[in-house]
Amino acid sequence: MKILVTGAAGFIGSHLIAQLLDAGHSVSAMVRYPSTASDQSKKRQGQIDALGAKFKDKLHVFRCEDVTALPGALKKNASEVCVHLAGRSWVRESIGWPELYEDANYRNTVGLVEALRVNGCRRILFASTVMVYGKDAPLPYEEEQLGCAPASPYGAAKLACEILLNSYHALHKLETVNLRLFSVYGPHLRPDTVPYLIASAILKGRPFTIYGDGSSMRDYVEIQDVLRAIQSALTGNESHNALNIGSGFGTPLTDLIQLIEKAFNKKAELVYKPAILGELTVAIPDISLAMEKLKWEPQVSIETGIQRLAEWIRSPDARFMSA
Amino acid sequence: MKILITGGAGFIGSHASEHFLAQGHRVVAIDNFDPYYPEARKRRNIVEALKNPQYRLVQCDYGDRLVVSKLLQEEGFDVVLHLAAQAGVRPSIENPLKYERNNVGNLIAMLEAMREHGPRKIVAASSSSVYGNNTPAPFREDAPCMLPMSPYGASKRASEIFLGTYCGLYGFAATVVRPFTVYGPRQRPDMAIALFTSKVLAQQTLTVFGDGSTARDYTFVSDIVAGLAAAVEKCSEGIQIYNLGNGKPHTLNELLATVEKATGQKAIIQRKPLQPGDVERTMADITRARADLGYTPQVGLEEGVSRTVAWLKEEQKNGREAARA
Repeated sequence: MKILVTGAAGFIGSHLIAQLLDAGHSVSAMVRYPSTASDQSKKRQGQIDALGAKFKDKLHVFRCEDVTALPGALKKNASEVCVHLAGRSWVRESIGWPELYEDANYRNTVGLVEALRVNGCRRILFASTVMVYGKDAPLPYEEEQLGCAPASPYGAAKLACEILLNSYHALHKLETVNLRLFSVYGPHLRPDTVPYLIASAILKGRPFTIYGDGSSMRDYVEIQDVLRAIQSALTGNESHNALNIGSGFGTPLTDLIQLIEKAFNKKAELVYKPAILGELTVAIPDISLAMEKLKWEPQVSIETGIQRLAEWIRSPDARFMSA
Repeated sequence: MKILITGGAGFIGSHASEHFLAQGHRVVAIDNFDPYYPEARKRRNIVEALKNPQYRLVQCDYGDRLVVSKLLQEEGFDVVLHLAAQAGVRPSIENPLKYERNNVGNLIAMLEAMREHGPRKIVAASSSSVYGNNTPAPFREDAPCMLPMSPYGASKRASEIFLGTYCGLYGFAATVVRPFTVYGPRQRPDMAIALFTSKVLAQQTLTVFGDGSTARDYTFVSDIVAGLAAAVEKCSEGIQIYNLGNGKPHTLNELLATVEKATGQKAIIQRKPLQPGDVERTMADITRARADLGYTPQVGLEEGVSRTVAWLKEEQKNGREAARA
């Protein structure tokens, strides 16, 4: 199958394209490296170059920063299926820069989906987020019980994208799947995520800041479980307005800290600050719909997942990143 | 009261401006005179308003954050009535990015200006098209609205979602109204009633999509303005959503018969298949607007169409093109 992956240089994207190539698919990888020549950027570029050397013409890497140029860019990279992972995904940043988030998430998705349609794409998987749920959504989150409104512009933009995809399904009969990803973690995790920040604080002997009283609870889902959900959603022709992709278990922040402390055999130094506007405190999904529709089941426990993460963080690979 | 009306020179915006001016309020209208239909039409819409010293027109994009920020600081508004939009279901299918920019991107820019300078109070027009085809009729405001049938409907739903987020984050007061097929004098030239009437009057062939059984909840503009005025008055912290419809849908065939009756002329009809994005039926449940806003639609289809026909005839008498040929 010929598959387009957007955000291919990101955390999930870089895992996904490696796996798709291994499985024998042809991959068009749309990338946007961070504008600064950071270590992270260089590293991602190196990873993708290595894949290119290994898989040759099975991998085509391209960039397209101008949304209006997408129809032309995709003509050259026509694909049957698209996994749309590109976007900005930091809640706190979205509160400071809502216009940026509307642009990077909603506008770019409108342009992408239209460009895919005119180029004959059949099926689109969209990486949505737990952040589409409102603070008043009943727990555990069920797909149709969104609550009043997303708590952040990031969540609002992602929900707007879901609705756009649904309307393309209704109008143009495109096959669309919205995957609401919970807190994805694993090797190659972005440095601005909670598990990474905790580990890095422990290793560097710096304090880790808890926003709020530490009672927050998240569903941490390991990257391999997410990849298997994506793989499953790639096949078939059913559309899904929304599917929760999580581990099915909530982990309190304090438990997560303990697990990471155990993995590195070192205590974290904690400081407390007021809770952040726009963040969800407890965010736990009901994943039964995804389990049923995708015939999928998360397999990696938080204990195993944190061990894997810790192994990677200890490896020279990760040290290069945090240098 | 000082009110900022976006899309102030448009069909509903110009009627709303006149209403608030008549109540003795200060009205500042923003309009970009988008060429979706002729600028001259919008200029005529505001001829009366411009005579009022309480009225000010600012020609700009409502999403021009610098200009809007300056205006908010200068005027110190009590409330924003947000009516500016890229309208049109079918054109949105051709150019979805334009709808994203004008209905969502620009809204975020204005909300940011409002967060910074005030007011944190907004009454915004969404659309009945957010309901799509899978909402059971009559449409209730608490329906999920996750499947609009067009990029236009999707962009309007997106704007509602962002308004909800701003309420949660910054204590905005936001009242969203969902108007249903608004018609009346000054109607946009691409809309069914204006289009049909002009064709019937000119004895030209008019194109009807589908077998005429599609139904719309046609709502006369004066009823919408009354609903908007009540929404402005009642707007309080948090997000509220209200349908503004007539509550009594009519089929396309009924509409055609009403137009024939009002004009005294037979329509020459050419039928074509339904267009993508067309929904089969819209019907507002207006229980909520009635209870909270005292909204009671006054003008039925027959009276509304005859008033619209009278206006169109007057326009044509003055040699003005009132509908898109």
